[in-house]
Amino acid sequence: MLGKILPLHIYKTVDEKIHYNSLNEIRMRQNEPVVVYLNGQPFYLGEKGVTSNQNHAIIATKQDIENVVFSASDFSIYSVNEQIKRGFLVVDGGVRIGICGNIVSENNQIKTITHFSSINIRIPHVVKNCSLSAFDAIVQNMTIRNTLVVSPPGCGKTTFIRDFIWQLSEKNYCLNILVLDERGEIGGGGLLNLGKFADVLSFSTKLQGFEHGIRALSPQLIVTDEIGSNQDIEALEYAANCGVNVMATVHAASVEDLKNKPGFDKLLKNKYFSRFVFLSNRQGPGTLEGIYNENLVRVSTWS
Amino acid sequence: MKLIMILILIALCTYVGYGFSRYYINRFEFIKEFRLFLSAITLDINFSHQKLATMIEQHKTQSKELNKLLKNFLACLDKKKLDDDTLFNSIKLLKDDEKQTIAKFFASLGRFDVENQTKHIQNFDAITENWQNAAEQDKNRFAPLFVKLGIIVGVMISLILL
Repeated sequence: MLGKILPLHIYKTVDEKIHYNSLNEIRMRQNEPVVVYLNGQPFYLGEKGVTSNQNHAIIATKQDIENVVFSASDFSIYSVNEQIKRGFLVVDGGVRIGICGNIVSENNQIKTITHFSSINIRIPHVVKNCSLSAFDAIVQNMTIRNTLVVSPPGCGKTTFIRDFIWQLSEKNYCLNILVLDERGEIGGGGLLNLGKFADVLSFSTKLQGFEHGIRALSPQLIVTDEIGSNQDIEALEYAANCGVNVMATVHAASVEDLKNKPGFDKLLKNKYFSRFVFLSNRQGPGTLEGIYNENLVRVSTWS
Repeated sequence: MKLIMILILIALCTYVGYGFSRYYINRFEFIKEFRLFLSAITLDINFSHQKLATMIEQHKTQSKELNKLLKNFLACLDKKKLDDDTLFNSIKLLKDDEKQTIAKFFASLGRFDVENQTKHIQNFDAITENWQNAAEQDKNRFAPLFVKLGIIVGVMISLILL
């Protein structure tokens, strides 16, 4: 997959010198060294592999960055402009490319992004059984508690929920699961295994996806990534009113951060979520820091 | 026997004249079909948002030379490198300045959002419209002329040989 999008000289080094399973991110900034994140740690990418000396690093040119976006769009920027407007582009396999450049707006609406100046290529991984240690705290009597997976970016939230969906299938919990994959990262365009019971609705907004999904697919569990806006919270409330359980993720580093997030006070006060799973990068992405109940009281700790 | 020889000679010369006239006919067909291709991709870009390679693969054209050009362009996409040698491999109907303009057009194809891509194609189409008009005039003027010249040359050679 990376061979399709990366410039040849960068791909050659990544392919030959880096172990794919340890690769989390590739960051390219115009006229700056290419940075790779291996097991959550940043390194420069040089011709001979990773290096901590920036003088040996490969420098990303504007052309390199533009070509990555162009290749990732299958040479058809117009066909992925809706994603580009939201600042990212997802290619097969769930590889997400975050895009930075000049935003073109009209009437306060983003029309597109041009002159790409930096990109962040995030590589998804399937980490089998990474959700197992939290599984029993989330599942009770064939019912999934409303669960919020919390961590800063890049700590394995999406990997966690992907594995959780797969575990349900492996353990033959015959639940209809609607995966609301707003950025195509969870299912990776069908290339990442989500088990037998998942229906994946990709590239829809949360509210539209919840409404459409609940009406059309009658799910017992909805799994979605990165809630944050008021509209997302409305979507959660809509699901709650329909009696559908939800597992979602959110960016926050601690319980305090979570309490301070706009709109979340209402969710916490109403005890919408009965489990909060906190992850961190402390011992590599996916480090389970603790599980909290609806009163934000710790029910389990690890490490 | 002589009469048969004369007829064969005239037919041969006419055929050579027709060969020359084909260039103008094919060139006109090529540009006309190219403009139809531009219309087709404009529609697809605006409505189905299909990928560029899919649109090109699905496009049917009667011009063999345009088929070649589109295949060459797909090969360039595969290589992730647009070079004139690959793009215009076996393309004989275009003049050098036209090749340059087409190369620039293909280099920008697929690089914009729908609105700007549509404008980009429309601008290019305005240029190809001029090419088409010129090619049509050339076809109307030179295609019959070369056939007639072929007949005349055939008759003249026959008269000399007689």
